[in-house]
Amino acid sequence: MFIRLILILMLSVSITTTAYARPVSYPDGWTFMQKNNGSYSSVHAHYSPTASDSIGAYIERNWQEDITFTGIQYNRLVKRWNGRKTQANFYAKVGVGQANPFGNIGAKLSGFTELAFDWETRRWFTEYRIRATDFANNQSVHHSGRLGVAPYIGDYGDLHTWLMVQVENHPESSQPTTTTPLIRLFKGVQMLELGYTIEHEEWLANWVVRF
Amino acid sequence: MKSLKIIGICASIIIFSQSVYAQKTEMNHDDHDHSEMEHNQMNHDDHDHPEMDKESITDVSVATDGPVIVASVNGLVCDFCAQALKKVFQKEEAVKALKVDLDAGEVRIFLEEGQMLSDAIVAKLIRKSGYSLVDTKREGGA
Repeated sequence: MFIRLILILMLSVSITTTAYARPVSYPDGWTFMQKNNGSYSSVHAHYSPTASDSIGAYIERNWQEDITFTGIQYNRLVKRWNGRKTQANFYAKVGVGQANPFGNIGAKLSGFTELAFDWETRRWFTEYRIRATDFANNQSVHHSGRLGVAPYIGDYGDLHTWLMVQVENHPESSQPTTTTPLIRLFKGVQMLELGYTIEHEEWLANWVVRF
Repeated sequence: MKSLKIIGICASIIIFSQSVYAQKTEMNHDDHDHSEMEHNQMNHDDHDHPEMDKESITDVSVATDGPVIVASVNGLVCDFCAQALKKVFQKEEAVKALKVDLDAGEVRIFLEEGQMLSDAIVAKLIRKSGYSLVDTKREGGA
């Protein structure tokens, strides 16, 4: 467990001091994303040459499967629907790299793909994702959905707050469906999410910053 | 151990975010004196304020008069949207400042005196940012 903590800190510090990246955003923009929950920790740093594409590095340490994936991830905004007070997005993501099963043989060619759809207003947020991974022949598919509401509507530059519920489904898991209430705090270019997965009794902490 | 993990994550997040903002606010003023001067009266020929210029572009106080284009935009639902518009428009020489009104779904584009920006270019820049132009209104001779 102590090694896990050290790894999280090393990922946090080493990556953030060397590469500032971002998800699909504005042209020439960088994004840095860090996700942590009881199942895995990941960092994704990416560059957006256009408002529809981004490419960058992705590292995931899967605690449950005891596997580390390192690779390149490409994100594509396939379609955006801009309404007067709404926005909806359809994203496709693909990653290719290598995975090292701990205590096993060497690195193996691995990858993942993900489709994501979201719809939001300034008050409501919904999202659905499906992700398939093949990390060193360890294959899985999982779904997740989110519903969120903003308790107040802030102006540009204010601290924005979202209350959300995330439901995940891992069909092959002994506990296939999990629920995570979380709070999303959003100010300027930074976003922080803190939550707690009830079934696993694990914390969730995600952080995104754009440059 | 779970609590240790979450404390470690939060600590690293806070430490990093502090260093980012520390870097952004640093400017070198060693070679000139700003005492007894308003900032808008200073000679800026001998030094750069790149980060300051980027930050001030959304500050309407720097450009309350002069030509303005009011663009009605679809898809403005969050601060990230406003950031995207800011980053794209600030590269235009004609643009002095930008103010985004998320409630109204409007972007006020303040132009430099004597400069112009056609509707076609405004539409292109908004599309490049990831959003859709509905229409424009022009004020102050824009």
